[in-house]
Amino acid sequence: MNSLNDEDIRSQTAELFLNFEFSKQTELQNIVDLASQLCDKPVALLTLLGKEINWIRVAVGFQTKPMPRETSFCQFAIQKSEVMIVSDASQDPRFNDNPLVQSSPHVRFYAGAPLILNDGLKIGTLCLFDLKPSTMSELQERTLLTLSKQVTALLELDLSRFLLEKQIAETVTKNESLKKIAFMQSHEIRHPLSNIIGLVNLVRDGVAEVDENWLTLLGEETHNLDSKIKDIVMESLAIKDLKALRYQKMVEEIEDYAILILDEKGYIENWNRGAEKLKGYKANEIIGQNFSIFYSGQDQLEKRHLNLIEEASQQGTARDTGWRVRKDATQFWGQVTITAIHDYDGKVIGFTKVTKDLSNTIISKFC
Amino acid sequence: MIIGVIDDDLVYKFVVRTLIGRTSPTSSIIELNDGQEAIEFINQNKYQLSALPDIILLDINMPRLNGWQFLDQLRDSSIAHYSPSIYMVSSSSDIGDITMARTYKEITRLISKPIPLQVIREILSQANTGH
Repeated sequence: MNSLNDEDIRSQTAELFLNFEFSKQTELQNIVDLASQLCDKPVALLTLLGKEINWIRVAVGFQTKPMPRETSFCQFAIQKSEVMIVSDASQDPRFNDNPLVQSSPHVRFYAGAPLILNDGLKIGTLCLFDLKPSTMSELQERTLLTLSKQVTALLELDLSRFLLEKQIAETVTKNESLKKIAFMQSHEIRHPLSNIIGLVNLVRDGVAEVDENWLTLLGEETHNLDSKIKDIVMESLAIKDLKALRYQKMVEEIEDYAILILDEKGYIENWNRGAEKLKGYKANEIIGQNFSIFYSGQDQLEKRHLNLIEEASQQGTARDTGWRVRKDATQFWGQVTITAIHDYDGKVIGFTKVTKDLSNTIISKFC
Repeated sequence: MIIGVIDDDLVYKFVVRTLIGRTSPTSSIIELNDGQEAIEFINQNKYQLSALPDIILLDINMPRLNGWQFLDQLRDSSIAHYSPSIYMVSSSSDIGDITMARTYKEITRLISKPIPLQVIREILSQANTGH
C-alpha cells in the first residue's frame, strides 16, 4: 500500500547519483565492457532509474543518454533481486508493443541485474541488450550479478565521497565566516576596552588625576563597552531564537504524541521522539515526505488526508480518528488534530499535526 | 615640537593629549579627526613647514580617509622637505595591519592602543635627537 511512496524514496535516491561526476568512471567503464564481453552481448549499460527518466550513465555499444522510463526494460528488472532475462522481447507480452522492440533498434534480448544499495533500495541496473533472441549460461548470469555488485559498491563509495566533500566544503565556509565574525567582534570590544586601559594607566602612571572629566570619560567608555557586548550577544543569538530553540527542544522530547509541522502541501518538515516511537520512521527517513504516507491505500484514494488539510485551512482546525499506517505497514488507531499556521497576512503557510495512539485504550475497552 | 594626532576617537585623544602634555609640556598638539581632515590641513600649510607636525600618530580605521589612504595621499602630494616621523596606531593586533605597515617605508613604527607612557617618552626623545 506504500508502494508509491517507496518508489519516491527509491527514485530520489537514484537521482542522488546524478549530482556528481563519477570519480571511478574508468573502473565502471571497464566493468561494463567486461559484462558485454563475458556475457557475449553487443550492448551493456549502467543505468540509474529516476522518477521519469532512465539515465544511461556508462555504456558500450550504445550512447550514454537519458531515455524515457516508460519504455525501459530496467523498470521491470529493478523489481527483482536476481537477474531478469528476456530471451525474445517480441514474444513477451510486457515488451512486444514496446517501441524499442517494434521499431529501431529492434531489441530482442535483455538481461538486467539490479543495483541494490546497502539499505535495499534498487537504484538502477547493469544490463545487456542484443538485437537477436538469445540466452545466457548460468555462469554468465552469475557473472552479471557479481559485476552488478561491484558497480554498486563503487557507486556507494563515490556517493559517500561526494557527500563528505560537500560537508567539508560547507564546514570550511562556515568556519571562515565564523572566524571573520569573531575577529570583527573582538575588534569592536577591544576598541572601548583599550580606551579604558589607557584612562586607568594615566592614573596609575601619575599622569592624570581622578577628576570629574576623567570619571565622565571612564563612565562613557564603560557604558560603550557594555552596549557593544550586548549587541554582540544579541547578534550571535537573538533572545527570541533562544526561546524558539527551547520550545523546539521541548517538542522534540515529547514521547506520548507525534507532533509534526507540515508545509502548506502536507510535506513533513520536522519529526519528534513521539512520532518516531508511534510511526517507526527515523527523522532522516521521513522529513520531506508527504504525510499521506501515514494513510492506508483506501484512505489515500478517498483523499482523506487532503480533505483534512483542506478543512484545517478553512476552519483553522481539523480532527480525525482512524487507522493509520506505521513504517512496518502495521496499523494503529490514531486521533489526529491538524491546525493551520498562518503568516502575518493570514495566508496558510503550513500545519501542525498532533497524533495520539488510542490503540491501547481501545484494547483495554475490549478486554 | 608639533605632534599631530589623527584619530576619530575622543577618549583616545584625551589619553594621548594627557600623556604628551605631561611628558613634553612645551610640545604642541594638533588634533585631526580623520585622514581627510589631516590631508587638508597639511595641504593648506605646505608652504609653511614649521606649522606641520614633526610627529604623526596615525589611526588606521577612520571614516572618509583611513590611515593607509592618508599615507597614499601624503605620498601623492609630495611636499618638498617634509618627512615627519609617522607612527601607525592600531587598536587590533591584526596580522594584516602588520603586513600592510611593512609596505610603507614612511612608517617609523606600528604601535598598539592603548599607547603606554613609556612609548610616548621614546617617541618624543627619538624626535628630539633627530631620530
